[in-house]
Amino acid sequence: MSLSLFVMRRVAWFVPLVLSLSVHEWAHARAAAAFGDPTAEAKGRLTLDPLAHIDPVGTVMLPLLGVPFGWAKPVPVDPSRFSSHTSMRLGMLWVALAGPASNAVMALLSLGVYALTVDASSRLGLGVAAAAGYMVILNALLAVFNLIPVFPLDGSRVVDGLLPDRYAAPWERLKSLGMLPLGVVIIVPQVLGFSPFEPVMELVQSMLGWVARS
Amino acid sequence: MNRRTLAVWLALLVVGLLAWTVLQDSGPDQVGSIETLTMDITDGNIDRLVVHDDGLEVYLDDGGSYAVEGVPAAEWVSYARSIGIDVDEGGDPLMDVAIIAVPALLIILALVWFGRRAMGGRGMGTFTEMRKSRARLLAENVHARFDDVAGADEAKLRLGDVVAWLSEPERWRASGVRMPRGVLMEGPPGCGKTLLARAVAGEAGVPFFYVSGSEFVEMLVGVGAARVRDMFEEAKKKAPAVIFIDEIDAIGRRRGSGVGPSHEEREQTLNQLLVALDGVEGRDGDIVVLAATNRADILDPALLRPGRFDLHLRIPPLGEEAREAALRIHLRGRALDLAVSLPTLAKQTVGLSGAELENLANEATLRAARRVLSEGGSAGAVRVQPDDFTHCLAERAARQPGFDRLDAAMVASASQLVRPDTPIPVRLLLVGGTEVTGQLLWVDAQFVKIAPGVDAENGPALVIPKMQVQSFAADGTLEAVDPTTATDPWAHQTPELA
Repeated sequence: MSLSLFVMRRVAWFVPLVLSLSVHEWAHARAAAAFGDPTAEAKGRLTLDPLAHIDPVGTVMLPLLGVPFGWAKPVPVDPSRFSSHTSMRLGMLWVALAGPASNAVMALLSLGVYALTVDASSRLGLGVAAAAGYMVILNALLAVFNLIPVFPLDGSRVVDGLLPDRYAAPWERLKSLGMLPLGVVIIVPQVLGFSPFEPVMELVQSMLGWVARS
Repeated sequence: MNRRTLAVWLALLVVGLLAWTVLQDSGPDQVGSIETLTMDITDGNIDRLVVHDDGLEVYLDDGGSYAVEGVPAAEWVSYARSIGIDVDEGGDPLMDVAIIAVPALLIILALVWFGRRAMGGRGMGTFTEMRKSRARLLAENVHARFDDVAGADEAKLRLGDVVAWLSEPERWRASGVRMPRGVLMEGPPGCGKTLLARAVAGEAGVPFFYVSGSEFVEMLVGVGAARVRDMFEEAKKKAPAVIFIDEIDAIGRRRGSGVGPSHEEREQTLNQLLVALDGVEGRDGDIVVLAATNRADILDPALLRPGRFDLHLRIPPLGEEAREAALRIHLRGRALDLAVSLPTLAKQTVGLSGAELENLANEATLRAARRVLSEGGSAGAVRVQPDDFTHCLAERAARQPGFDRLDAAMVASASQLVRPDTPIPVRLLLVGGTEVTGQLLWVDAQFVKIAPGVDAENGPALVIPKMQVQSFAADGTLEAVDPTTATDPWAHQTPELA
């Protein structure tokens, strides 16, 4: 493989990831602000600017090294500053859901762009279509991955919001293990040789195929 | 969305779309099967092959092309080459370099980035920054006056000379007087050493440099010394000036009293301070160094000799009059009820330092204000009642480590020294079977002090390790004590426990 091609491929993967993660983090900040918590805004995180959200290791280094995994700086949310007519529990639930929801919206928008450009004849058009297709896959994966109910993913905050109080103690004990459960969730399927995201990929692929044919 | 956000998004979108567009042309559109490829090879249609990690690109003689997925075996490639097909294995020499260099570069960048962040974003120039003195220059018109300091009359008198000299150095120098280069103030905490230093600068109307001894302390050898030099240079620019080194025992500790790099650093700092005080570096004497400590006994003798800190002032705990004066100062501007008598209050506050009196005044005023304001009164209606002071003093007394019950004493003494309000008669059964009775004077984490016998005031006192005590009971009856065991607290110590 030639060097320029290698660099191009890395860039082609990197840019959509950075943009998607920025929107994801902005969505959290926007939702928190909507409930009245100014923490994220005070920290300068209520912005779509990728420079405010990228983590030098998780968003830049790992993706550029070709590791299919990454993260952005988490947005600080202080539920005790929610306005008085928002409960802390439900507020956090919606703030957590805002991130994956934004990825779902991005996936749908990208699907629209893909549908418009997939029949293009120019090279630029084909490039846009390929990028849009990749954005659909990436955002669908981001939405699903973040909804895994394992700390510290957004899905665990959703569990925080929905779990009945009597299960709170074992759940907190699980959370106190830190990143370990997440590591298990990521590594065990790798070792067993199956990808839990296969169904998502297949669904998205068939959707893209259907859009391209119609 | 601001301009930076827009710019970053546009740049990323352009770069990303460009990359995807370029990638669209990176190979043949057609996909062929391995059978087609085998057929084309036997037919001799192939012009050249490009081998990738995950497949092949096949370019035919007639200009057509297709891609084949799957990794070809090495023998297969060498066979294709042997029958005259141009095989490009794609190994770009730059690529080999890049695979090593790019990750290395990224990691170095990340390390640099983290390093900068760890230094608090100070980035480059940290070392020169570190060598700067941390002394803070307070406003040139320091407002503190001697009147703000209660008590310490002798110290005020001696410092008055310094003030007079700082105000008119020329006149005093002409009359042949060498003023103290340094003044060391020693005294218990909270007795106004810092305030006196500020008052010297305030009375003389000269700049006041404030630094704490611990601010010279740094792990790096030479940094503290550099800071001393820097501080004197800064002060010289503003001369005449007052430099105040608070808690000087942090650097002025007797030299040679320890080993290791941090001691070396402290000694260098101290040496530099000694030299700076000597005036060898052209110090013209218009700078007066004031220093404060409550541990003058551990200071290096060289620091105390004439020519350096040649004036030693002991700032005593406040006497009754001084306490009254201090209360007057701290209650200035606070409305007092006519029933409040400051002389009486001064009598009630034996042992309180200036800082504690200030705190008392504030607490009492707070209590009065809380009372008046909660009843809806205006701030102007706040009057501090005698009762407010009594209440705050009682609260203070409750915080003192006194006790009148034995079990309370045993619990409290685990972490601190406690004394009963009045000596408690106790009966001790020691490990050897000896019984000691007497009056309990104090208990701390390891020892119990007992005054045996009836004559608790004047008799010899015993310090007994708690380890030796088998049982311990409050007791009204008093008995004789075996003097041999009683005078040797370690007589029955069991070796295993020691």
